[in-house]
Amino acid sequence: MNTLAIYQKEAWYDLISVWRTPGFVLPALAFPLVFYLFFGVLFSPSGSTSHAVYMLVTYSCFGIMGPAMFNFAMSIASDRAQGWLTLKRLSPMPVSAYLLAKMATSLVFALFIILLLFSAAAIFGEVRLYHSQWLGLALLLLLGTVPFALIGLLLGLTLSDKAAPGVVNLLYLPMAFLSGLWLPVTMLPQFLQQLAWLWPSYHLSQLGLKLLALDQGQPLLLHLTILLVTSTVLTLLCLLVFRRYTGAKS
Amino acid sequence: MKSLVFTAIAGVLVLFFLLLPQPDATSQLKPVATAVSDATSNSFVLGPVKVFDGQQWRKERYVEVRDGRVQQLHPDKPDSTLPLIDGHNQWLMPGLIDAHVHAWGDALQQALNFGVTTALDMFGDQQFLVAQKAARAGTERTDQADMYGAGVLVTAPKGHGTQYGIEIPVIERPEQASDFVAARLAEGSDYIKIVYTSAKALRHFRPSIDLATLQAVIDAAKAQGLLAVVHIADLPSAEEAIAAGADGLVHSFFSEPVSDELLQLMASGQRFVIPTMTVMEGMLANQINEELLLQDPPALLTAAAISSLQQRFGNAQIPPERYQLLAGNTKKMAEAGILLLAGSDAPNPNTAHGVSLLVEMVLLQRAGVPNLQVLQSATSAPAKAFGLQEVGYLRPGYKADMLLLSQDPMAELTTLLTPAAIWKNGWLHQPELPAESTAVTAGLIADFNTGLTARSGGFAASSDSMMQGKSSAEIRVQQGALQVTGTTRPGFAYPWAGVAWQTADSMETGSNFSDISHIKFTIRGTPGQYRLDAFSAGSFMPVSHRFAVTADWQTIELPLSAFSGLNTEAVSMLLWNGPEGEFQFELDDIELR
Repeated sequence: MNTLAIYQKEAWYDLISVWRTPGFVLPALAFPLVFYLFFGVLFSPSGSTSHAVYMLVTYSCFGIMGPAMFNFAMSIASDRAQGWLTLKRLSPMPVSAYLLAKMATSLVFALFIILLLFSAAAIFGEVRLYHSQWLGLALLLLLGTVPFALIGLLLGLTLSDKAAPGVVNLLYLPMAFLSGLWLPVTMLPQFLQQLAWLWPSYHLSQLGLKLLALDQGQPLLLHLTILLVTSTVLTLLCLLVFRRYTGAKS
Repeated sequence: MKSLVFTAIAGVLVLFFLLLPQPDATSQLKPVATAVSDATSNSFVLGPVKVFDGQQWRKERYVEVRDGRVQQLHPDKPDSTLPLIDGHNQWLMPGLIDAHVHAWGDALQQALNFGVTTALDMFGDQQFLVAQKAARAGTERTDQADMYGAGVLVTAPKGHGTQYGIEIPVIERPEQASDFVAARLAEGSDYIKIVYTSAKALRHFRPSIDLATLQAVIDAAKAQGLLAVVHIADLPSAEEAIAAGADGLVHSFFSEPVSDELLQLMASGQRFVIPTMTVMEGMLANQINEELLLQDPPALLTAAAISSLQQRFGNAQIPPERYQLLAGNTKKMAEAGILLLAGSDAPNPNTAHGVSLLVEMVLLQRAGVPNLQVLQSATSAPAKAFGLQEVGYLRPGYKADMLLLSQDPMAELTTLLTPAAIWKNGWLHQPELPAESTAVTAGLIADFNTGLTARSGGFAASSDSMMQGKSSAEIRVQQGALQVTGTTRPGFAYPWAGVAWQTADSMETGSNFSDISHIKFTIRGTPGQYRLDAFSAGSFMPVSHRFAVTADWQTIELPLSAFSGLNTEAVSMLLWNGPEGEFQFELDDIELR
């Protein structure tokens, strides 16, 4: 069996295993869609055309963050607890196949969420964008899953399988709210607005809004740099934790 | 099989994105902002920007402008059919108000080029003032600042204000006050400016109205619904003016430290002061223009403006240390809570229209006035003090006179010198760079062999009769020389009579004399002391050099360096003056070397 096939198989089975967990699939797809339809379309201020556009970006961000964080954190924590990870490491399969499979699953979910929300925006929210903007936003959101996958990975490597769901929720929901993904960030109190700078989700959403000229006006490079630095630091942390984890076992 | 599935999925995805709806031509959404350079309308949305509204910094990030007025400030990009101008998150503030100018000619254009969108004149031609009133009422596209003015000032016979050679009405007794103010109101004055020097003052430069007349004029102004502001130059005069009910002082003073009584009286009575530190800096320290402007002059500064900034007062006897006293007084006034207004007193020596207001703001800041107050001093403070209804704030209903700044003015005030954009009445102002003065090369200027022609510019008789003086002059070409006959008689403050060579077609630009070291000419005539005046562009005060003339032809060569203070990059005029009394002289072979 060649290496590429291993990667393909692992990815395929990871996707299948997640797909067969309706408790994961349904909330992951339904939450952002329902939220967007409610807050972005139904409760849109009358006469507003930019509200539905603005909310499309923020709820898409909210949507793609979820699967990335949950899939990584919860399944890695439980694979560790049940000894699966140890078994997989003993098999000839490279560890990277295991991680890339999870990443692939996150991307598939992200793509589904993008398709769902874009359709809802176009049909119900009467959002009209240029092809370049639709496509740019989609690509940005797919790339944007990376930092959240890393957060999930870090949590999965450090938390027990029982603690993981709770902790991820504890991070996911406040982070979304404080980044202005549920309500426009300008509606938050001043000190919370300043706090928004801490969260990668804020910077991702600002990048998305920048494509539509709806952002707060900070430079593009600033958001990109912060996201890159955050991702790098998270990667290093993951490597460190992974070394310690494997080191203890061998 | 597998690849078929992948191709199908990819195809569906492509189809999906192709099917996503596009904005049509009539769609309201304009997702892509235009650049600031859009100058086709005075209705737009500007943002995101950080907004100083004249009083304070605001949370709102977007400014909606309709028909040249601020319609609304919005925290987020408003839904609007208006074009969106990208503010790049820069700093936006109201256009500046210069609270002390004397405007004529192109003063208001100069002002707007530097972001001064409103100027308050403190003595000038009432015809000029009246001509500006229509423009300031609307939001038509314009290349000049709005102007409000005092018109003719209130002064005693031969008092300050009468020395400029313009015939103006004067006041002698308190009983004339009511009629005098009514006459100003009828002429169109927006407020009353009074010149006053107390009998207790240490120095008296010119005659002044007495205290009773001052009181009567202030009372008359109030009775007729006009603001009364007073020109003073020392502490006792300031105290008496404020005690008499003056609404504000149009200068500060450096004669002595400000008294606690004056501070208290002004603060509690909500009186204001326009310290005009820039013009006084020119009498004292004389450094700020060199430091801020002249090392690397802004491209928009005209040659005339540079001459004016370099011009010196004739009274070098005041010790420069007095500047600290002035700065100290300004600081105390700010700390006492007195409303400070930025005013340049342009175009006096050491000042130029527009740019000197920015210098004034820097001087206020260096005197210790907090930055926020400095910004207010050129925006909301003058609007408050003079009851201006349409300018000074960025709030709904106010004119969209705005400056976009690339740096935070709270941190770097000098960013005002290079605004990213200026809007006047909501129209983007695109200033034209001033014409360069053309260089003059060495060689013969005129030999009068074929008439009055000169290599550049032209010759004309000139005398103080144009300023209601009593001198006169005539010229004609005779036997290959220029013959000047005339009389120099006392009458005007600076009597003159002779012949003028205007060096270029435009007095505003003049000619560049950088390559010239000497002026050479031959002359004979009525024996006596003659004078050659050299004028920098934009300046009415020449620098002079004297020489003796005899009845025999002689060649005179004067080094340009003898004319100290002349802006050699923009020389507008040379003027040969005859001696006192009746004279006749002949001038020939004028040459530059």
